Amino acid sequence: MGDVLSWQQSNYMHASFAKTFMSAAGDLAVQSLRAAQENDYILVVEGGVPAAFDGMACTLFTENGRDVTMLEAVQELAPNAQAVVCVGTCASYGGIPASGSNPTAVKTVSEVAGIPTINIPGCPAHPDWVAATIAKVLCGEKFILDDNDSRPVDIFHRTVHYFCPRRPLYDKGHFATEIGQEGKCFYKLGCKGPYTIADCSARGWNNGFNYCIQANVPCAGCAEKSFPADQLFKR
Amino acid sequence: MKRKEENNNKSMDASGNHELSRRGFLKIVGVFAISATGAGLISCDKDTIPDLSPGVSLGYILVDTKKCQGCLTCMISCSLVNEGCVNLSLSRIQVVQNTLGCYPDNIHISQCRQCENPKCVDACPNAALIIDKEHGNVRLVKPNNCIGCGRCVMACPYEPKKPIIAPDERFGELLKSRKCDLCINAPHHFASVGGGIEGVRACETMCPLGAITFATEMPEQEGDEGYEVNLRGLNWAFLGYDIS
Amino acid sequence: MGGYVGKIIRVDLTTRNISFIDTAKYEKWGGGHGIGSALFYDIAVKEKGLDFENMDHNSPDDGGFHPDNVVTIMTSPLSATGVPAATGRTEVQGIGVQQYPIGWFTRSNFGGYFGPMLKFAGYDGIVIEGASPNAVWIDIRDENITIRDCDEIGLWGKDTTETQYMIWAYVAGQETYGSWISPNDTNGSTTQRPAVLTIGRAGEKKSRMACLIHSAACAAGQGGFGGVWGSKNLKAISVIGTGSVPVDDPAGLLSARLSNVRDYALDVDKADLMSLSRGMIRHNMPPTIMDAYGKTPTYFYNGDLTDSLRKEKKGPLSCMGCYAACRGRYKSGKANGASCAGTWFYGQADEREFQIEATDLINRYGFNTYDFFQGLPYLNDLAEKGVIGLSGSGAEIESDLDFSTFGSLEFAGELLRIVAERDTPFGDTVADGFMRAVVKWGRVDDLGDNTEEDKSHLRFPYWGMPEHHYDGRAEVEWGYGTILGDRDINEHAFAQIYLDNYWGERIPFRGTDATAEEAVRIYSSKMLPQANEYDSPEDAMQMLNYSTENIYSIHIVRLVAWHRHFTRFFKESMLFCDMKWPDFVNRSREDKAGSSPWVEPQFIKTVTGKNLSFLEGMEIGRKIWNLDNAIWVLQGRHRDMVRFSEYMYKSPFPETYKMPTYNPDKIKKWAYRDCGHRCFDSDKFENFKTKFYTYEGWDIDTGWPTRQTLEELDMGDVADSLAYWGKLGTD
Repeated sequence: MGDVLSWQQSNYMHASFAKTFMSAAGDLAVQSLRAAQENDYILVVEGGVPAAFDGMACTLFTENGRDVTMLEAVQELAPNAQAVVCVGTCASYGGIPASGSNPTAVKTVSEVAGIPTINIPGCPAHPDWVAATIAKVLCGEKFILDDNDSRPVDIFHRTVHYFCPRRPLYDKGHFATEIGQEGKCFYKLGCKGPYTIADCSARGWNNGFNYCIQANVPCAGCAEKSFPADQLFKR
Repeated sequence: MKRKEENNNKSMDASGNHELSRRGFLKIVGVFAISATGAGLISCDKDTIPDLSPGVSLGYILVDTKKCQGCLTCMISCSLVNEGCVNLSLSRIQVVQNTLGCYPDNIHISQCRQCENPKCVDACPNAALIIDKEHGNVRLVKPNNCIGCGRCVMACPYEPKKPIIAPDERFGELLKSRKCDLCINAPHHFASVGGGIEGVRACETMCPLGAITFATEMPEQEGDEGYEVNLRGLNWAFLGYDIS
Repeated sequence: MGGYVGKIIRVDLTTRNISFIDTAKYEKWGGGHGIGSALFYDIAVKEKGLDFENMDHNSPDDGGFHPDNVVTIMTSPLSATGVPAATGRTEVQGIGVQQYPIGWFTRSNFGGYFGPMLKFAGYDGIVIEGASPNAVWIDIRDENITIRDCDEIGLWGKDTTETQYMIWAYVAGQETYGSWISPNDTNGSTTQRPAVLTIGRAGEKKSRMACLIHSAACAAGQGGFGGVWGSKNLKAISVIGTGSVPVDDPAGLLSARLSNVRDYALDVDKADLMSLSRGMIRHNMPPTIMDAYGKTPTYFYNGDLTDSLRKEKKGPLSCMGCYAACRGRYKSGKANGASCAGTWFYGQADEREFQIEATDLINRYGFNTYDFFQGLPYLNDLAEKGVIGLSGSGAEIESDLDFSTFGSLEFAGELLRIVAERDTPFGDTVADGFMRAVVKWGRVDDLGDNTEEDKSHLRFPYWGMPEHHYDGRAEVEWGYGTILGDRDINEHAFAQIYLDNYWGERIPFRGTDATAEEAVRIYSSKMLPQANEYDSPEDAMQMLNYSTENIYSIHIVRLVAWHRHFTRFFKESMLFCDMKWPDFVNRSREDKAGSSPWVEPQFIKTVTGKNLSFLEGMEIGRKIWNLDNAIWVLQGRHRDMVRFSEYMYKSPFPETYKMPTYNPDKIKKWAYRDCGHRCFDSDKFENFKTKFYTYEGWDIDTGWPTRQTLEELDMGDVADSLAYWGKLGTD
């Protein structure tokens, strides 16, 4: 992490188009996007891509009076990008909106673009994972993606269960029987920790402040393809 | 993992290092310093100090491919004792052959090497593929912990890859890894002594020509072929076969 | 029930329709031949109502070559499971084209890995009917079955070796063998190559001598099934499977196998081979279950049935699940797997190396070596006498083949080429088999005994088929079993006694495994239920009395009946390999008694979970034998045509052939005495047939099964079919 952080200090990532935090708005924002398309760029997508209603369930911006859907934008921008990075489980695997009846026909970015993507799942995706991966892509550093899930294997290496602080409780069979019980292992309540490859137990969330299990809630497996499962937890 | 109360004061210094981590570092150093000086007075409980050496396996399957007749009895037996049915795709020993090819290159017996530095163990994200210290350091899968992710397969440096990911009927058809465990946990073992280092292994016992044998010491390795031994004696020559 | 995987594929090549049959409906027939006959009856006789009797078995488009011919390829519940020497074989049946004058509903089987692989893919067997308008091959990958055009990869025209390589490459795609491959994208993976059953050029051109080839020289040789496939435009069937075969008691099966192999077979490393063989172990087959490995091919080179003197380095090659390889794999890769009679083609070559090359070649063409073993020296003799000559020479039979080069490697290649291609009158005639050739040439009188010195005759004693060593006049159960059945039986349970004597005399210090009395006592005590029809075990021994006085008796009737029923169930249906089973006299045991017939039911039980006794198995065998006879009867069989070639009644078999005989006047009543140098008495043979038909419950005037016999065997519907066609025997 040291290299990337120091790089972050001395350089900056220039986002040509980022709805939530760019200073431009309206036509100016769109111009910035179109200008960026003239050169090399990396496409970072957050959220699953709704395909129903011609993609009109999610419009990204208005250009020359016409609403441009997320579907159209991804399909246009992805093929020419140097890399396509999916941030979050929805973009990577469909996530919550693609589950159940999926009324807006949400698809993964990879399905819509027709090309493989670098997936950084998580609901949400951990900022460390996102920053590290995008930095590596920008630096041109080589990293390996998992065959099945297309996640960087150096980040997604051990399960939540592997480093879980409640492992001694698991090993000794001290299981919680109800949500909310303190100081017990949530395995019998359907904790997805053993099946979820993510380093939450080692890294923590909110700058290491806390994370799900430490907050006394079982792991929901939000970084896996299978998220959300039919029944996250059980009695 | 940083503790709650320290994180409130987190700040970054110019070099990007967390100020906290220095404090944290000093704390850890402090702990070591104490135990180092008190080494004579404080005994180290081995449960608290992690054992970092992997431990070599105490059992190895060795083969003589030149003696192999390609009957696949080893594969049949392996899948029978471990899976309770015959399935070549679930056998943890694989014999690959081209019956139309030239002896001896047209056949290859591929067995798990019980590697000294097992890449499969390193790759397992859930500590399911482990070095089983209770059973002679055999590298084996504890299916309860296995999530069927397949990292062990990708990590195996040999072809064909030794671990196999397939649905396991004991776990409601969930994907689980399997690999040679010297028949330690074989649920359908035919011998009352069972498998493992002290017992008998299915492939080795059932091979009708004695082309598979067992050793308790790691064989000398020469590239990939270190686990080949010559098991052909005078009788073999008498039958007109090659003993070189 | 363990062992079966549940489905049989039914392919109609005319419509390209693929459907499935529930194996469960046929499990009562066992497997292999039993299911094959039952399916043939249900489909060809009942469903299609084929008019068998009016088929023209000399036409290139009728009989077995007609699209309506139904070919079955069937495994047994034991296939793939690891039962020793009963894991790898597969049974093929259908209307044959080799036999003369009628292409009987016949059988052939082959070893290797095809049957097991079919089961891993999820199928107990395949039924093929119809004919494709263009050349196709069938690609089976687990649940995906695709009929593919040969044009796609240019498969038609390729030899049997090339075909296998091409199909392996096609199925593997960009992958290489030696790694895990998923040939069927959605399913499991395997490291194995697909098992391919294919025809060569001989089959493509519908030679009646064409066979099916799998792997290295695993051949379904008899019946001309290669030509049958050629008539269906079917080039090959490839199967790769990643699934499981269920076994009822896995630990029990492995224990049974371990103790059987340990107690009844030789330990290849520890056995004292020298003393056991009293000189040499590498003798000819069939070895008993206890026999050792090293059954490298026996090249009949220049009349000498010696062991292979192939000097190159070699290792053993066996079929799946066998405990003792009878085949080899060679440094040159030439003629891998060719064994026994499969190596006897071109024994008159100038050099042994040419014979090995020629063996490789004949397997690539996919020709049956049996026919050529007898036929080629005969042709050469005709050429030497000027009967066969080059075109334009004015010889009686013209050919483009230059027999003056006989003995060279080029000659063998040219011979096979012209017979396969059928583009000259000579090649075309020979391609229909030597029997039909001599009929066409008006030389039927040439049928007769062929010796090392005199090759001017053709040893074709029955149904237009060659014999290979085991002459019916001497070893009567072989001759009778053949003539009362559909083909040269090629089942060596009793031939083993002859071979024991043959090698006992030729190998220094070898002797025989058992004395005549010991052997006969052991054999007869195991021949249930026929042995129980006698008052005492002593009396039962008469079943193995091959003396001339006895060979037309009820005792020999029982011998033949036992053999036909046993082979129909245990060997052809449950697929216990003829190389190793039955285990009767076993020289590694102190009492010399082998593990048959109690071990076969033990294996069946551990695999299937079914308590099938040996006697029950024999009764199923009798049922299958009766069904087969019913089908032959529908094809036109009548006792009047159940006749050997005329020379069998006129010329004594010219060789010595020792079998056990009983002579009450001698001190040593039981002894191995020469049963050669004799021929059949025509009237006594007719009388024998009457006894046999009586014993089997068939009409003695016609040889047709009766209603009573069929209903007793729960085959009343078969009786109805026979009645419909006016062929039901009367009691």
